[in-house]
Amino acid sequence: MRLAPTHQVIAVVALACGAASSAAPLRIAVASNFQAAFETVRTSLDASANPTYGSTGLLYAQIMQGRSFDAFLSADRERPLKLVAQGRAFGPQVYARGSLVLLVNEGSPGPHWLTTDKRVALANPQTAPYGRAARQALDALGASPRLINALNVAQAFHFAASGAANGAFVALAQVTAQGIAEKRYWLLPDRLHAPIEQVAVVMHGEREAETQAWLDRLLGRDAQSLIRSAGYRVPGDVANARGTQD
Amino acid sequence: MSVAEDIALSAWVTGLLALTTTAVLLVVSPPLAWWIARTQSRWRPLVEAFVALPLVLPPTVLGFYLLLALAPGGPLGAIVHTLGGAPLAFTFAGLVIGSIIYSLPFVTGPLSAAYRTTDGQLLEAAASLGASPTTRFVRLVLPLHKKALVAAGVLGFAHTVGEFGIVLMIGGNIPGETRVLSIALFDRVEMLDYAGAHAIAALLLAFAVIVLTFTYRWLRT
Repeated sequence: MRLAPTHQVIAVVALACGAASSAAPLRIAVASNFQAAFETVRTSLDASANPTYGSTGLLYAQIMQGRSFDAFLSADRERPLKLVAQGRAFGPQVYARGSLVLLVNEGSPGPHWLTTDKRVALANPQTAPYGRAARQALDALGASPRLINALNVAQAFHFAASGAANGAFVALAQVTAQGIAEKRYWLLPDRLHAPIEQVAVVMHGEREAETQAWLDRLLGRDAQSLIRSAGYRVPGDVANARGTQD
Repeated sequence: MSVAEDIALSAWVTGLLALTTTAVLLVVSPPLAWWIARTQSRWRPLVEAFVALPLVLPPTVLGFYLLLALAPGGPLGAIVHTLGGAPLAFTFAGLVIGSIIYSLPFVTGPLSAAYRTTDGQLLEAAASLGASPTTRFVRLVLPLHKKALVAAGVLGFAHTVGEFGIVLMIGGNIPGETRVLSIALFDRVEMLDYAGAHAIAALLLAFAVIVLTFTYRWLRT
């Protein structure tokens, strides 16, 4: 049987739509600090994924307002667990442990560098886990430089990179991705702040199974070794492998 | 800091920023607008284009370049440093510079449109009576277009209150110095404090409606 031309068009469009929906990339909300690492691992995971980057707090707020994602790679533990408690997500797992560094534009970085005349950028402590860790470290050190509040670690990095701020608290992953010389940053010891455990969850929805399989690959050995070389500790590591010495 | 204190402090910074910006623009814009309205120079279109840039450019573009310019190593930052001043990025003064650029077309535009309608015979009469160009501008043009000046000032003030993108890029969100209401609102939303967000949003909306309504009414009288 031959279809009329209009019916042929409809059939083609319907086929295209069907194909598009099954091949459409997964929508992943990704905390800003993980941007570089995500770009590295996404190509090594079979299924395509479409990331949206932002501070953990902003992404969480958008999810609460009804924006739909298939997975959420948070920079903290609290917000993904809240989503699980609310029945919006399931399967929380630590996919990376973050390390906080102090990146400086001049001088040698360390606790003594944080004098009151320095202008130091940090991610918003109320919405970004790296910002909160920076705040805790400053309190523990009793240091009070002039603080510049950035939206997220990406903007904190930008404030320092532009030269407008003297330095910034950012993720080790960011300085690693930018190939910044080791003498320009200080890896903060673990005891100065609560651990930055980055938890991922699968959002409830039509593509749960597919997303869970994708997340399993993210937690697999290959992806995890890429994540480690991007500047994170991973769940399999022996704790305190890095960042314990002052 | 309580939510009410945060909002009050941000409102204070916003008001002070808009007031300072408007004051500077009311000095800079009238001569610039008069020049644009009267000149035969072939540079006029280029100058007009630069004045109008903030109308079409995303504020993030301005903010991105301004942050580089204001940094201690940047052109503006270097000048300030040579003069012995403190760095401008992430300061109130830096925001004033950003706001002047951002709101310039909103003050200069209406003024040059009004100045173009100036009666040429009046100016010639004044000139024949010995009035210098400056005297003609100050004693004749400014009073003739008083309403346009007030309207342009109000527009510049309101537009500065509504600024967001540039402040986000160059402000650094410092309470009492660079945290304006639009940024405080963004913060509240990220913190999921929707009650606080509603309060700020309603405040800004009410301000804009009241100011514009009264300005349009006054322009008709």
